[in-house]
Amino acid sequence: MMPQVLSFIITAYHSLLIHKLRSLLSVLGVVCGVMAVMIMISTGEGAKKEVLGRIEQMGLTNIYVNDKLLSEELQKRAEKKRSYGLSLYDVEYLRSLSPMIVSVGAVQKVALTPVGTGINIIPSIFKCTANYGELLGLDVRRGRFINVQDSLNNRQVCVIGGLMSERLGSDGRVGKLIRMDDRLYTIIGVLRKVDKKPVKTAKVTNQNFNDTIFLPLNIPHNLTKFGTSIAQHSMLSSIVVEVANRENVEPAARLINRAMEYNHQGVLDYDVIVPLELLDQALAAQNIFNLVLTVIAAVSLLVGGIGIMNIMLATVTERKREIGIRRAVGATRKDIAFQFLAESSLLTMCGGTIGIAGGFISVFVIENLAGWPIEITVVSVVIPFVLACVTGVFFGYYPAVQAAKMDPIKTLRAE
Amino acid sequence: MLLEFKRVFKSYQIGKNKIPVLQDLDLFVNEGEFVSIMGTSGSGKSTLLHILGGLDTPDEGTYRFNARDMLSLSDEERSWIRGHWLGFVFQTFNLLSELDVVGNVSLPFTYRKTKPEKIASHVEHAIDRVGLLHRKGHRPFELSGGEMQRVAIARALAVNPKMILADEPTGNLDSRNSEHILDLFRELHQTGTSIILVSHDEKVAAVSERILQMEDGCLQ
Repeated sequence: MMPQVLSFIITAYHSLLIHKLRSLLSVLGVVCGVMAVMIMISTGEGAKKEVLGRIEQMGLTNIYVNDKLLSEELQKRAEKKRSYGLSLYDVEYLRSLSPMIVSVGAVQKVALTPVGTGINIIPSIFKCTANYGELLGLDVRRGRFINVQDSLNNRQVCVIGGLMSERLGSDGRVGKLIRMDDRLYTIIGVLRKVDKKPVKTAKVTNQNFNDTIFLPLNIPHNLTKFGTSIAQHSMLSSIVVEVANRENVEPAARLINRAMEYNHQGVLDYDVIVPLELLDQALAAQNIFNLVLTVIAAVSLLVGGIGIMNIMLATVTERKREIGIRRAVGATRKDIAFQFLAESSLLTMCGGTIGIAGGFISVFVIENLAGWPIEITVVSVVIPFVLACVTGVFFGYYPAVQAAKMDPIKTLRAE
Repeated sequence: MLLEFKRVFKSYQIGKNKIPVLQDLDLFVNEGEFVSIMGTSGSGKSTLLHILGGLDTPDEGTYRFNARDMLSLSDEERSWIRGHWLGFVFQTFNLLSELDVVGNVSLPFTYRKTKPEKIASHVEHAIDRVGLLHRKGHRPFELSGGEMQRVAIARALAVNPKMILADEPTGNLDSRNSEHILDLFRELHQTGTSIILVSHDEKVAAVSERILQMEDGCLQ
């Protein structure tokens, strides 16, 4: 059987070579289809990986309560209801809300300006709670992150991003001082530099903290909701709530929403973001993308397949006499069918290979010119190739059967 | 008895009319016999040869070849017999233009389970028998008519068939080349190959040991 299959393939190869241009043109549809499938799978996988990475970085057991900017009018209305945005009171309130909640951290953007650093980076400066680094999984390369003592004692210390440290050179090391406005802060820790660029999506902002400075956020005791200091301790940028496990995320998110609604008197000056929900949304969006991808792939391969069928039907008609000769020397109907099936399969396999090569070039161009995230996996190469082969067999089947059915006497008499 | 053909009828439907081609035809051929069937164009010679070769089936009658009932066999079994026991030689040579002499002579082996080294020796031997070893790498368009027919004969011979069926083998050749081909048939017969040759030419038919006349679908 093997030598026979080999002989079919060799014969198929020779007959395709006879009409090089025709073979190439007939297979263009499949080439385009395979390229399209590969590009789409690679970009899809890349985007998926990017989004998942970002969401996972946020922590799947974390729930974020982010500050929301209000219009002037809404701001006035909010102030009437004594809602001043996210406050330290919210942090304390959420901390004692439920045993499901393990830890609550907060971060506040502050308007300080580093002086005399001599570098052209305008850093983002945040005050944060001691647990913030742990909640976000920040990687401290040198020194340590801010601790509770720093916060309680309101120490003049800071943790700086990897890029900041690199730019500052010897001034950016642990133990050195940075001046911000009129105060000096001692660098106690340096974060690991992250090479990936921060990418923004609709709801999730991924920061690599390369150019960030963290300072301790002091939380005074005995905060009351309507206390005089509330406004001063308001305007947090974000509160991060960590729950015990994934199962707790959904009920905790509901609880947080209710608590925030109560605390803020129904004023929606915050957003509750649940990364786990974002993950589900991302996966759902991915499924839709996959469906679209399947339809596009199916259409392009259908067009390619019709091209193959067309050319194979023409080939069968042209080679009637050859079919007759082969039948006369002992070929069965099955042998004839296999012969033409081998030809259409070989044709689409060549198309598939060219398409994969084109796909590699295209994704390389897309990655470098458009800056899209690309992920070439075994699946993104194998699936288009297998689809091309299946197209060859599927659309080559009818012409092959037509060839096999031909009357050997009529074919021998064909001109 | 190598071939038994009894009370065979065959007709073709052309439009509303049924045209009889073979009518109550009997034919018996012994092993090693050389039989010529002569007849005018349209007398049914080629149809007879196609049925003998298992490429066509009669409407009625019986046909046994090498003790096999050819009419009860499946397409695969008839193909097997064509590939192992029969060799065809056509008037128009029927060579594949994209293959060289070796490729054309090897063609029947595509459908047989023969070891590649054996194929090479069978093919070489067959090409040698028709005297074309020096042209084995040439393609059909590089050969003369006589040479092309010799390649076709080599293709028929290569599988060492029990019988060769030749349909007007000299029909497209000049007299000199025809003579060469007929000499080749004589030689094959002398080495024990059974041959059935169909021709309208008396000179060609005369090369055989038995001549049968075909007229209106009957053998005289």
